[in-house]
Amino acid sequence: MAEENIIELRNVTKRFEDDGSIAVKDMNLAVRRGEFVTFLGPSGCGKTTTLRMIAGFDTPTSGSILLNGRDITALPPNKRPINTVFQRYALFPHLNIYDNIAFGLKLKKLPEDEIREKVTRVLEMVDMAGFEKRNTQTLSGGQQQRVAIARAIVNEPEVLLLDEPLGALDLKLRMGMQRELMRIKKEVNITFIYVTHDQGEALTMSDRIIVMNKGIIQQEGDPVSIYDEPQNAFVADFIGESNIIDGIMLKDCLVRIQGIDVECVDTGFEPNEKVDVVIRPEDLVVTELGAGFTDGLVTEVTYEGAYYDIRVQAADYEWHLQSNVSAMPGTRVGISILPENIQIMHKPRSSDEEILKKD
Amino acid sequence: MKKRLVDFISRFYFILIMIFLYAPILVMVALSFNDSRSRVVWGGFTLRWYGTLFSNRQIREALLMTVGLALLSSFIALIIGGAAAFGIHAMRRKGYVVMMGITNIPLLNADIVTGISLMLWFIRFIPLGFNSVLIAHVTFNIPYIILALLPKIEQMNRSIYEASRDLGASAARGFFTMILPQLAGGIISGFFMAVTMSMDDFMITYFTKGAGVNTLSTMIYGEIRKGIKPEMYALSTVIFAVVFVILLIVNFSPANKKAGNKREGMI
Ligand SMILES: Nc1ncnc2c1ncn2[C@@H]1O[C@H](COP(=O)(O)OP(=O)(O)OP(=O)(O)O)[C@@H](O)[C@H]1O
Ligand SMILES: [Mg+2]
Repeated sequence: MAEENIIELRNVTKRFEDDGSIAVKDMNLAVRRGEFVTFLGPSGCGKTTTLRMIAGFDTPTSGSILLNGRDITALPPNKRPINTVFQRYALFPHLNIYDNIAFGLKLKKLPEDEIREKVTRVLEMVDMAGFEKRNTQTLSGGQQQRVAIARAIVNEPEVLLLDEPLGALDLKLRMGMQRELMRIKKEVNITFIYVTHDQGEALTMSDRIIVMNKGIIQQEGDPVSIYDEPQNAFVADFIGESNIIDGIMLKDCLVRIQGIDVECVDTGFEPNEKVDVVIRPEDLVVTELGAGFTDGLVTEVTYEGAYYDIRVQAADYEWHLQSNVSAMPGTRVGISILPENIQIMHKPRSSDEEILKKD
Repeated sequence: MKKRLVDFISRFYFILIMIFLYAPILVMVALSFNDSRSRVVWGGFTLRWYGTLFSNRQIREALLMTVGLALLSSFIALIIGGAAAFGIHAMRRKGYVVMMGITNIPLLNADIVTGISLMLWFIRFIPLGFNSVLIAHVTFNIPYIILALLPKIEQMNRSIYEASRDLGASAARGFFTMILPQLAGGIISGFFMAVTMSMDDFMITYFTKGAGVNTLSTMIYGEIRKGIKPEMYALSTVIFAVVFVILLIVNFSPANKKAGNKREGMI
């Protein structure tokens, strides 16, 4: 039972009438019960649209959405055991905190004392005990966020949808709320479908990440596999920073970059296939001149707190390195890399694949 | 020195405008309290004309007709215009511009043109009478409702409606608890604007009413042709006072204040 799919999207496409552009294209997805799934992608890639279709605010142009195996595509939002934490909180301004949170329970006609008990419990859970009588306008952004979360989870939905819930908070508060959300997730054991364009947030919190671009799923997998084994240049570029450079796969485990043959661990490519070579900045190491696979001129060094951000120009490519040892701008250095840290990717062939590439 | 002169001229100009606008009305108000049938002799203060006014059955019926017509036509216009405003709001750019043009035409159109064309239309299909006047009033009231509601619809916070649906409210419940309160200011000002316009109308009513149906304005017109009676001054004063009060309410209602927006194009 643990592996059962709670939400399923089957060939879901959403086209908005006004310009005919496609917001979500032929999406197939299964979310397991109790999972923390995150949609990750740049602005406008269709994350909110997907979430709104699951919530019932938008209807797919084609395809179907299933909840526990039952087709809910045409079910209105109030009939779905799904609740949403909105990006801009959407608290009811004319109700106080208590009534905001009790809104759903009152509609379910629960007895008054049961409502009171549940509201009190959920307020404790989000660390907002004693705020019952307060007005929504008198709360800080972080507090409003907590109320929005409480208002949704108090209904004990089967699925909780969160649309960039931490987007409006400052960095420090966001980190705190991330931990808080994961704790709440454990306590309530509800399936979370989370939307963000912040890759750090996605990597920290999710069981599974769905990377999207232009309405198409680029890759799905757990955070480690998404980060370590991006399947295409878009994912590699979007998740963390990457050096993406043209290469030619000479044979298994040997790639030619800028005319230099470099050892790698990837196999299964055509001989002499043109490929994208992806290397994380933190995997590149500054070495003595001639000691690495290539040499270059240090053009820029910025101290970022935890590491130095270094740019090295070698032939026509500017390598991006993150290192905890500095380098002198204007000097020539070598760059080395371990073979297993090189990612080789097929070049996109069709035009459909072309959009997977970053634009 | 120069500034003072400019100040003086602008103040003088303002006072001049006020005199031209309101002096005739003040004269009429004064005459309504004049205990003499003459228009030039002050015969002392009296409420006599108000007394005969309210004991006159014809006037009472016309008053009832005017108020009833205004309220009923405004209410119907509110429903139709409200639905239209939501529809226009949901339209794409092109449809929006076209619909707003269509909305504005009846406002700018000469009343006599509207009145005659409606009359031609009505005599072909329905007998002239209360129904025809009602339809005519609904017709010209709809644009005022749309113009008052549309900005409110555009400003409204949709997400709390969606939040209520998300938490289990039906579409109707979400509409009445989340959307309608946000539009209250527009509904009130649109409704009172329509009431004012309906009570104010003479031309369109004159052409579309049947025999036996009279509003205050058409009745006064009929009476004045027989000779001006002081009761008419009293009646006009009452109408003026009512319209004045309604406009005050509309412009200073708390709902409008809270939104903090200046009334554009209200008068
Ligand atoms: N109601 C709508 N009408 C027309 N187009 C829409 C509508 N809603 C979204 N779109 C379009 O669909 C695409 C996807 O939008 P969506 O809101 O899902 O993006 P998103 O991934 O949530 O982006 P963000 O991170 O900026 O919130 C965009 O190109 C957007 O312009
Ligand atoms: Mg979004």
